[in-house]
Amino acid sequence: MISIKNLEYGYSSSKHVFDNLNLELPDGHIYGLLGKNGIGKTTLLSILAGALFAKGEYDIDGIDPRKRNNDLMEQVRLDVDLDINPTMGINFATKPQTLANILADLYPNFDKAFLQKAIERLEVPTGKRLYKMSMGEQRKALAALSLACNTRYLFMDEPTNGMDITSRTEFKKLVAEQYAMPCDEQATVDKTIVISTHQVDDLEGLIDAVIILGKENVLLCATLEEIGKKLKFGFATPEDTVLYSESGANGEECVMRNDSGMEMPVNTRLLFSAVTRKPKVILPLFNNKI
Amino acid sequence: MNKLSFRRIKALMKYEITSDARSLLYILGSLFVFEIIISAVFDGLHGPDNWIVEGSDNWIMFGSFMLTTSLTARYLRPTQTRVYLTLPGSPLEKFVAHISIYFLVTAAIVLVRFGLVELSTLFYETEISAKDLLLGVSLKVFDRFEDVWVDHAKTFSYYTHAFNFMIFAIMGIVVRRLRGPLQKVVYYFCMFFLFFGIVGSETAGLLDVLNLGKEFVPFMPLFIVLDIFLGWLLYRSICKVQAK
Repeated sequence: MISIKNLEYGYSSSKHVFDNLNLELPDGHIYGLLGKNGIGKTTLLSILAGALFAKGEYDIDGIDPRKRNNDLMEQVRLDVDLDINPTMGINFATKPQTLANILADLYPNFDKAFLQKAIERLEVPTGKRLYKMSMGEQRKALAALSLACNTRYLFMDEPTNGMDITSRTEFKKLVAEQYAMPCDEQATVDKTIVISTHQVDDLEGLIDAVIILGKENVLLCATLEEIGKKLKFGFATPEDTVLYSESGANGEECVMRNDSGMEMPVNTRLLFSAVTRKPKVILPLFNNKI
Repeated sequence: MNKLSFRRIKALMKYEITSDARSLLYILGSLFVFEIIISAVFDGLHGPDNWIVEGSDNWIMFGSFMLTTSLTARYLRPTQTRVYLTLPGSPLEKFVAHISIYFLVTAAIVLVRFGLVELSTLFYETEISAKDLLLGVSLKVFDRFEDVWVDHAKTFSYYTHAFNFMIFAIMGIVVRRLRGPLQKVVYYFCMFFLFFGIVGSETAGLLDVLNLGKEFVPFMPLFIVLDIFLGWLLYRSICKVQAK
């Protein structure tokens, strides 16, 4: 379980990213981390993975990531976007298989069979060195490698950036397959994945919980089940209580109160717009805990 | 405390080398190009025999300064540093991996450097066959190691090394405590300063002039321990370098 209490972080005294951020993420979910540009999605993932140090109390399974404890690091994988961080990966002068061999020595549950499957299905060019690949190819290779690390916690930053349409679909299937299974036969706890993205369509049918970041804090953290029981999305009828609406290609798309008690499908894009533009209307419906 | 895992250390070393192999090649390439240019200038001024042989020690030291600086600069590059540090492995294992690369690459540079110097010297001396050239270079490299490197170590190289590490350690702490543009200014100032090896060279030169080096020879093991300790201090400091 990931627990964050009173987290504060800023890149400088004037550029505050988080202020008193609180969040609890139980295991066994695929979280979609959403937020506007520059709101701190990558920063939050980096903090959780121990790459950045923030003030406040936060831990993964009771271990502080700031200690970079080996037992924890073996179960945490940070997958950052090459395009955003060219200094990180663009110089990888190896082929994916070579990097896989290195990672296999570092991550005890590294799944070589899964890697082979992922490479084939994502059509990763195995003969090319990583720095010679296109952005989409690099992203596919690194996503396959990160998934194959088979860690209990996986933090992915914009994993589908640059991927073609077929690969995006395959990526979703691979995440679902890998994260539905325990890390190893002895594992009794579920795996957790947090995926930050702007491509909300890529998350449809994959995530089962949403974290929406606002300025310096979390606006919403809820399962799709909870959201679907409290809100419904689509075109409104005169009987509906409309909480938010925006013009779509086919007319006025709305976020409405769901009084039926039944779980309705969630439109992540509309949810994000409603929460970020009308937080005072939407957020009182949620207690901000999963 | 977890035991050191050599499997992990080896993997970390491979990760470090492969993740920045091109930068490493640029560093080595720049080093040799720079040396060739400078040597050409000095040859013109003082004649080839003097400079190439007499100056080689300083250039080896200079090369190792550049390498240390460059490797440390890689560590201070925020993203690369942070991602590397999130890999499995204890802080000690990561330090061992890093320092092993430092020693291996320095050794490689020294070897190549000696090879180049001796090759140049042989070319100046006589016309010889390829076989003799290779044999001659090999023998001369080892001779030079004995003559120069051991002598070099007896005088001031350990002071230079310790001083080098100490500066990095202090720099790590200073950079860690600063924030914003000032952090960058201090960091780049230190990098620039160290890059040209002025601090180390001048201090080493001073110690040599004052003949202090020979007095401290019995304490050399102590300086090695000090090197490692300061390296560790530096590493811990750099681990905590954060853009606050």
